[in-house]
Amino acid sequence: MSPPCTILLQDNYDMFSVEMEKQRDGAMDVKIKKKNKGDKKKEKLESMKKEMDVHLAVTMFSCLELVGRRCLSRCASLALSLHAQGLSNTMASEILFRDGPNELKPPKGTPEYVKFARQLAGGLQCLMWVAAAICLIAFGIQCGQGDLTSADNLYLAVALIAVVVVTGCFGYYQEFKSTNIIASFKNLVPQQATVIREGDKSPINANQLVVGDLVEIKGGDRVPADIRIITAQGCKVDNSSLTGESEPQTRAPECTHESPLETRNIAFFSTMCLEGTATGIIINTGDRTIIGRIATLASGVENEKTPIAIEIEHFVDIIAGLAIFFGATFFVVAMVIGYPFLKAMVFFMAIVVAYVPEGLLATVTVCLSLTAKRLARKNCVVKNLEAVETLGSTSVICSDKTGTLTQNRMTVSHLWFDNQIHTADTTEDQSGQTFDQSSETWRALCKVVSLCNRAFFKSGQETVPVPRRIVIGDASETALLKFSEITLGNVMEYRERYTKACEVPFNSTNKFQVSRQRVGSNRYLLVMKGAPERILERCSTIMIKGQELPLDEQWKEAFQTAYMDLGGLGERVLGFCHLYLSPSEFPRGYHFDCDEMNFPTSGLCFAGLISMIDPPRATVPDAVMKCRTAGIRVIMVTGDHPITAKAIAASVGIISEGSETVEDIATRLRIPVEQVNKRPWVVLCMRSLLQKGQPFPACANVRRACTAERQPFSKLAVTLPSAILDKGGTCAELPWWPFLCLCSSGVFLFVCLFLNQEEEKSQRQITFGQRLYQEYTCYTVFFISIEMCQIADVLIRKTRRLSTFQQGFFRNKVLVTAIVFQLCLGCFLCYCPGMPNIFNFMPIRFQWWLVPLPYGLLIFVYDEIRKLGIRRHPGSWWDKELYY
Amino acid sequence: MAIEKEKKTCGQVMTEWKEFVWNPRTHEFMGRTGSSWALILLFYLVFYGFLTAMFTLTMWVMLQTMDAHLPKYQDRLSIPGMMIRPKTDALDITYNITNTETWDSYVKMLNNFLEPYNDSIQLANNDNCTPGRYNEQPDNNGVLNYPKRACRFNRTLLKECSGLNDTTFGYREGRPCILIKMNRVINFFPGANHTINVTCAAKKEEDVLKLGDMAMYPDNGNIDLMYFPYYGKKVHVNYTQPIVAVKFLNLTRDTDHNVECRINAANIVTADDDRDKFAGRVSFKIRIDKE
Repeated sequence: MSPPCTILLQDNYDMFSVEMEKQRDGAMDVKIKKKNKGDKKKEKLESMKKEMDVHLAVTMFSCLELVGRRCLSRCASLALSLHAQGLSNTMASEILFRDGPNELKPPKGTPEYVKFARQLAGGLQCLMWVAAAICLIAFGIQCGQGDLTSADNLYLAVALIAVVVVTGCFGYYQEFKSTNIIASFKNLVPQQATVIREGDKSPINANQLVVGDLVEIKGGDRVPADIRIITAQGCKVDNSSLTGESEPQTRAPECTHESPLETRNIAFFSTMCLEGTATGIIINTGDRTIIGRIATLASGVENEKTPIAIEIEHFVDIIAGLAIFFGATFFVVAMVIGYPFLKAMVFFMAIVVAYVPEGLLATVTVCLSLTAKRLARKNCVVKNLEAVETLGSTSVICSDKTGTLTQNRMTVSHLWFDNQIHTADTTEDQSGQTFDQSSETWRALCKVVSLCNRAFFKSGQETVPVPRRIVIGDASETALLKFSEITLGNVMEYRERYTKACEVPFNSTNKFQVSRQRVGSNRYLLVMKGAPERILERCSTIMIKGQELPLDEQWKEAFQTAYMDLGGLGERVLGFCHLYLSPSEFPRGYHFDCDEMNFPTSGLCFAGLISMIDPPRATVPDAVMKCRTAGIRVIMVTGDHPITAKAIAASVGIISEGSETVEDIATRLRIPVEQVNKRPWVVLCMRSLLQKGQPFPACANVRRACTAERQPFSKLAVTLPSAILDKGGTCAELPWWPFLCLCSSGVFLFVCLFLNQEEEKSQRQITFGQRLYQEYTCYTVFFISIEMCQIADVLIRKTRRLSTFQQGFFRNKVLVTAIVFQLCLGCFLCYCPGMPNIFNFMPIRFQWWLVPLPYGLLIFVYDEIRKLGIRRHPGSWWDKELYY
Repeated sequence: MAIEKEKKTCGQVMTEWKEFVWNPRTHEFMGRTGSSWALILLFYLVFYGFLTAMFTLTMWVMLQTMDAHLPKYQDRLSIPGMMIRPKTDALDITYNITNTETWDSYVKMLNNFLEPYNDSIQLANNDNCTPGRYNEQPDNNGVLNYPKRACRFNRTLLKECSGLNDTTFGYREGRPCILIKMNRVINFFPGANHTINVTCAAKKEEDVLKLGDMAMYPDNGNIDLMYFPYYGKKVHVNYTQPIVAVKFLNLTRDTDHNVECRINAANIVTADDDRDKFAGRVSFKIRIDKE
């Protein structure tokens, strides 16, 4: 909706007309005019009201996007607050009819036949269709010439089409299966929301909500749509599903940022409200919500080509080029020699078709299907067969830190008391070691931890293990609560023994939290936690081994060291202290005033430090290790403080201890950060909702990290070890072609010579049939020699860098089976009776099997030398040019 | 996404392409600098040079293992092939008696073929061997018996079909001669010490009458054992291949006759194998048009 826009609001008595006009400088001038009810005709007003109410919220959000804060803060919030009755039911149903239900629409489905057709129209498939067409044309020409005997071209065409269709069915079946699984996710849980309509509060299904509805959310609810907060009491939301930030974020009516994505007065669809309550007006529903847009964006990504698709396209280009080049050459030669045009044409077509690797497509599909099946056994749904290869050719994984590498829950990791750092158990199932808990100081610290804490368990979770219980409260308090629940036992009961007399909540200005509790009958206990340095300022004593000692320089020094140590681990450190108030000064029933602070807040007794971290998941270091041994770089993307990021990265093995950051190198070399020529392992980037909206590569750092890794050469050959029967070989084998051809044709020639010593020499005469068998024998030997060389080739292709000796020749059992099968197949084709007349294979002498062996060995030796050079001199010319 | 999906204009594509061909900033031609091209070309020159050398070497080594005189393997020649003269593409001998041109070429062909069989040449070059026995000339303990002598096959043995009395080989009067020969196979002993002969017959039983009588020369279509074994061209100089002639005496005119001739020998199995139509037999078509 374009400015200027006008918003009219109906109140009980007055009508506000809010007019906004766009000025030349782009700013909005907002005028609010108060008008009397009688100024205008009633019917006109009624209709206007209705119309405007309908458009109200939409307009509001559009304005919000256009002019940001000004619109909302000056007029809209005022206007919105007048809208307390909520929508009428009829209006709601009208808007619902107009906008559709409040749910994320699945991306537009493609018709099934289109999906199937797409499976038949990939790069290789197209090549094969063309080949089949050419075959049919050639067959037609031959028929036309009256040559009805050879139906080879027809058979070839049928075989080509069959391969395309069968593999297409495979791919389609896979996609069909996975689509079903994904579809079943959609109807997970119907969600309820509390809505105010016509002044009445009622729970309805969240998908019935419409723009303009007034809704209430409270701690534990999922936000049912994008909501502009009107009123809030201590409302905090967890935006981690959108941003990955585990830190709860406050939501309040005030506008704090120009961008609707950053401002504090908007709560987003699908995020969780952790605590507090809020009411708000719905500004976006369904796919128009932020998450909906992200979902739409994300579904737009799938059109990007997978590496294997690009690879195959490239391959098809090369094959097509070669085929046409050689076909044309032979055509010209044939014409020059004097063949008739049509015959030369058939010749041309035969050569073009001969270049089409018929087996490749089937091999690719079978390989990918098998992998997909294996993945399915590990509970991974493969949506698209080609994605399997994409997964396999990963060279960089950019992982979000929070929730992916880490557990997404703060956990107490270290404690400092009695001038000693203790390590707490941070494993997910609490199976780790505990520390010495016998000290008096620990008991005091523990008391502070459990009492000075506003978080509490949601009721009814007694049977749930502590780490998994749902806690209402912020992340640090949750961590502390769970920690004390595990170490102490029932915290809730413990808290009941101390009545809360007064509490000053944690805020960013004082950075501490004080609460006073009554101990037993007549003494008050003051407990305080907060930023360690602030806490220390207020302490005059420190508790060591249960004794209160004066806080002298020595202890301050010790404190500083411990604080620095813990801070250096990238952990969030909190200090704890307490004070028993004297019963005479503060008798029972003393009125504590939180605002006036009529109690001592200094001269306290320091109890200890506790540090917390979002610990890595137990399985992550192993997974990272596996990735790295597989040559995949793992990059962690986080918005955390560099020290924290470094600590986490080190603990999961992404970086090793003591490695330098880009900043470190920059300072060492005295150059700007941008010029540091190093591939990063950890990328720090400011993450905000805005950036989430633009998918990943928009982040320049990440893109730089990723593109640095792209390998120019294909992995097609690695993926397809069993394509050894294939006549063409693959892209990466191109340099081998002449080699293989030479060797095979060499063997071919020998045998031909052996069999067919020139007539002049012997004047031996043989019949046509005998000559034919001799030709077949030569074919067979050619085939066998290619087979033998391909075995050498596949052994080479096991590794790209390592020596085959390092890798082990026969570790891949499947490959060994394939080689054995290959040999058996070769033997079968050679020696099975009747083969000469079926496949034109002749039984060959045993020694002819051995002729290609030296060639295979030579290929192998050459490749070992090549790999040795690559290993010895990484980055050299040799490496760059000869690493396939 | 919007950033990624921007469509390139035609001009941009052209510029990119031009820059790929020649990049003035980096001095790259087709993505490589001059030195890079030189290096990679040098590498492949060496690489393929080595391959060629190796191919040549192995080829040479293999050639060394071959005997200059004898084919290494001939284990698939137990049934020698048969062929006729005059030989045409489809083994189809069709002519018109009155039209001389139609059979003139056949006569010429036969004359040419029989040239080396002239009695004078045979007398000059070849020995008179003992009939009915193999003419074996073994090497003596590694000492080559070289060159080996061949036996005489005089043209006169073919009598009516020798082309000496009747220079048209009977084609003029419609009683044509066809010569039948058996392929040379080195070190092969056909018949295993029993006589061997060639017989001809109509391919189908019912055609026998139409085909009429045939005369075979030498008698019975016999091939003498003394012409075997054959030792190969280089060793067995002037070897004369034995032939059998068949003369059709009473061919029905204006009819296609399919004739099949076979070798009858104890160690040659002439099975009716469709795959090799010339193994131990030969089929041809003969037709004489009246006008």
